[in-house]
Amino acid sequence: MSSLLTPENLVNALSLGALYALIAVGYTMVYGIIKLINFAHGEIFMLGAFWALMLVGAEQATGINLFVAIVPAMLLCAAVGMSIDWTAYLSLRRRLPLADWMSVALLAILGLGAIAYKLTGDTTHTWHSETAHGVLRWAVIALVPVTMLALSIGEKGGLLGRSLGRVTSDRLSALITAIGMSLILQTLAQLIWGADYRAFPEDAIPAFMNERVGAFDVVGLPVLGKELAIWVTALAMMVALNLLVTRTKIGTAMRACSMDQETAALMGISVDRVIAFTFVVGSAMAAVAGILYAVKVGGNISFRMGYYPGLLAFAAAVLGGIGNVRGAMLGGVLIGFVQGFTGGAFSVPFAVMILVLLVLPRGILGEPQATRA
Amino acid sequence: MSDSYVVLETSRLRKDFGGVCAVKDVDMEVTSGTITALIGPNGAGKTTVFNLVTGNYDATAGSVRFTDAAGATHDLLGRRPDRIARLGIARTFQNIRLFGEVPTLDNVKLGLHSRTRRGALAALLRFPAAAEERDVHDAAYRYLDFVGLAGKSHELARNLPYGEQRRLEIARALALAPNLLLLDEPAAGMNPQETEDLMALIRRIRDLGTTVLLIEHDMRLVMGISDRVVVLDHGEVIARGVPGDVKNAPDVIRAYLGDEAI
Amino acid sequence: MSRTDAVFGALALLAAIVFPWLAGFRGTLPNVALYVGIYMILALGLNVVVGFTGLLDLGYVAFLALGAIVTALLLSLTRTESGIDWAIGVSHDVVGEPLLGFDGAILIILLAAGLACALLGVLRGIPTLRVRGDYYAIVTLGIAEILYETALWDDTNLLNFTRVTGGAFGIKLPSSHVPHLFGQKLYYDQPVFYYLVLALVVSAFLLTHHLNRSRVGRAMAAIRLDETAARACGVDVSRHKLIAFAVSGFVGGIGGGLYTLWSGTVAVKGLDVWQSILILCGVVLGGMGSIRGTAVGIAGLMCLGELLREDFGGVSVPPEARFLIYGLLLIIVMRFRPQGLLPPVRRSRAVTDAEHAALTTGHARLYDLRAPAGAAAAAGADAVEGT
Repeated sequence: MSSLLTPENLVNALSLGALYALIAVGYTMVYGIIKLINFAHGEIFMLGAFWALMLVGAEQATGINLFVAIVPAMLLCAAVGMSIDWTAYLSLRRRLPLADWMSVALLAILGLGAIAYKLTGDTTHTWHSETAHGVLRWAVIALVPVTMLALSIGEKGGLLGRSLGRVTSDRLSALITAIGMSLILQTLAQLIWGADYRAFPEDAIPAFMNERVGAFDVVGLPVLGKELAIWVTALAMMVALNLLVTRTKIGTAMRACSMDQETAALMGISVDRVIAFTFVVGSAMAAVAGILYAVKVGGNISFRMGYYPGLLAFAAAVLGGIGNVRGAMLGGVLIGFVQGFTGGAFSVPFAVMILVLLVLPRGILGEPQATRA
Repeated sequence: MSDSYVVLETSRLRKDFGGVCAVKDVDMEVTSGTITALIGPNGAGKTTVFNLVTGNYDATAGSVRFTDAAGATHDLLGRRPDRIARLGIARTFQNIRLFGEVPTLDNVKLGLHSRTRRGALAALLRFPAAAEERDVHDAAYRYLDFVGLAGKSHELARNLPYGEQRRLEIARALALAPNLLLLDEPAAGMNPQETEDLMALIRRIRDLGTTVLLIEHDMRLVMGISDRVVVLDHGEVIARGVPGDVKNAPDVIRAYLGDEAI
Repeated sequence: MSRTDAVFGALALLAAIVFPWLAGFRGTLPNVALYVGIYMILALGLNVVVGFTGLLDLGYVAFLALGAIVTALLLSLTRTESGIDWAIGVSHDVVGEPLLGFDGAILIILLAAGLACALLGVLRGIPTLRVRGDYYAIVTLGIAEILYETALWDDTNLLNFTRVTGGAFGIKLPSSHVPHLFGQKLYYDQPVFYYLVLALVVSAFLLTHHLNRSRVGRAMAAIRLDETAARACGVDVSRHKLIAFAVSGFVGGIGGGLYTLWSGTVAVKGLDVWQSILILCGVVLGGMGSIRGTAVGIAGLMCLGELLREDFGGVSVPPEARFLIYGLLLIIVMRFRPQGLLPPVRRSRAVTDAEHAALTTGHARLYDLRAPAGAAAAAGADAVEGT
């Protein structure tokens, strides 16, 4: 395995680590407060890359500068992150009948809109009429779900019957909702941008990004400009986040909420607002990570791109101790190293994640918790 | 009873949480056929003692010995909670832990779990199920009736009023046919009439031959039904004996009311 | 099973039996029916872990894949001059005699696939016994991803699994190796295949139903509702979780085997996390822990998917939009009806006054499991003293 301990792998590991750390803080902050694995977080990362792609120009650099595009992409992702919380998770925490219907209507309009977009934009789907036989055939298949639905209506515990209450725990509901949200965002991206792998146009990426940085040649590290850019950006954002969490009022409120939401609410903290803010911060950082990841790897912008990095970043968050922002940074770098030094496969970091979950579920920097009766 | 024996014996039982010592060298004996109360101020380590006995916590040091209905003695430390339950120690919880989403009868059926045998394969292939299931149903129903909940056999446990939930939890514990029953604050949140009924219920449980060890803050209940009282403070036993003596022990008064009360 | 359930079950079974006489055994409708049947088996298996035991399994596709691969491998076992070989990756015209080619061998093969998956379930389950909730979900997802990536390893990796899994192209069953049952070819358009699937659906239904209503099923429910309280009742939590994993894996393995027979090929590439999500959607939609709900949920979902797949009344929905709709369904169901469309209903019969009287004549022999009715009061006194 000595061939894996190369300077190239070291540089790669550092960059991956920095990127995973950027995504992981989003997972860890959200989990710390609402105890939910936000599966849609990887999709935010993917959306960040797509929006930057749209902003700089899909085929050629006809749009704005890539560095400038980072800011609106961050804002857009922050908005999506916040609306995910509002549409999907908020009403699982609290019963808000109006918000319930509004968010579902919103999601449905979004979905139907995307399908309509796809239908009108895609020439392979024509509006031709099928034979009566075909219609009949599908009517028969439609009969099954419709009949089933009809059966469930009126029966005890059926659709109109008295509800038997929640069989599932609320946390399971939230987790399934998060999976649903992730599915929706992925398929929306696929409907809108197609299934192809895409890349930033070459002329949108400044030349120095793909040149070696001379200063690092002295120590024998082949560092490209984009790797250095990743390190500097990640470091700057981590320092900023640390200051935000430890020095500001909202940061204090975030920490209070992650320790004890009820008490925080009694202290006059608007918990919902703090949670929304957490989604905003985490999503903005994931957007940056998505753009940098696309610049680093190249030609990998697709609706799937959030899945593996998202999972690995979650592994990083757990490794560092879930809920602990500094832990997420440390975990990100460690997972990046594991992947970087094992040739980029996903199995090994996943295996590390599973081991951590099983052996060290509190993570490296997590606080030990007494078992409860 | 003449042939009484020691059901539960802890010696130098100790539990540290980090640097905090929650239970410090507790020596305690519970004699068969009695009702023993474990009392003390909040945070004295009473529930911790329960959790050590039932295997929910691992003790830092000491020993817990339990004698089952057949007379065999077992060392409890290091055993899993379900094994200890099978040996014959049933418990209730301070913050009621019922299976709220299932009917009361099914809660009691779960208590009967360890006393029935049918394994997975038999269940899957449906070997004669009816006979055992009927026995389980009938037995569970008798336990419900014993605690006065027969009329509510098919209500969901979470829909019961608080006092009935406590009694249901006792019925579920009794379904294990325990030699020792641990009750963690059974009267908490009950009104005087419910407490009165509960006292009668606990006496009837003792009369069935089951030894009872209970944690309780309601002194009327403790003094009314206990044969023995053990007082804990800061994790240590500060007094023990019959209720009348303990009530007037200076250490106990000091623990509850502070020094100036003496 | 209540009378309503029994009536509906009998009607559904009858409909399934006569269905091919109306729709034929060949064509879209019977094919969709088979597809639904196979996924119904898978969903019923997943329901044991997700619904009964309350552990969110995001890696269930591993059982589908392993069951499918084991079946394909056993079916491809070939007797050649040089000994026994697998007919994978060789030209299909020159394959030799199938080793397990005798009539009915498929039943043994399916059993083997089920047992292999039960073993996988236990092996996968042992390390996960300590974790619950979302950590369990992530661990199962991670294990499935590792298996997925490893199954596609070729000669550039540490170990080459293409001999076993067929790599990216998968395993294609040689047409000479299509198994027989009762003298008929088990091909997707043959009556015998349809009725084999139906029989196995019914078996999975009854198997999980009996499990759920048994003492073991009760213990699983207790684990789902409150592990600590379950332990206090003497329930061996680890043991019952492992039983759930094994049963779930077994059923999933059978489903995977049928998948192989149905499609004629197994490609790991297509058996990714989306399959796990799809099956999970069916369970969640119908009602976790509810057998009839799971069956209804997955049937509805698969039919919906088929509906969306092709032109309907002139308008077609893009194929990728299916998962958008599944995602919406998940969110909407969790929001408005987290217990699913047909949640489990615990029906306990009310006890009549006469029964009450017979059951409760005195409590002196309370601890006897089989206290004879009426005799309790009489025998009471010495029963107490005797112990």
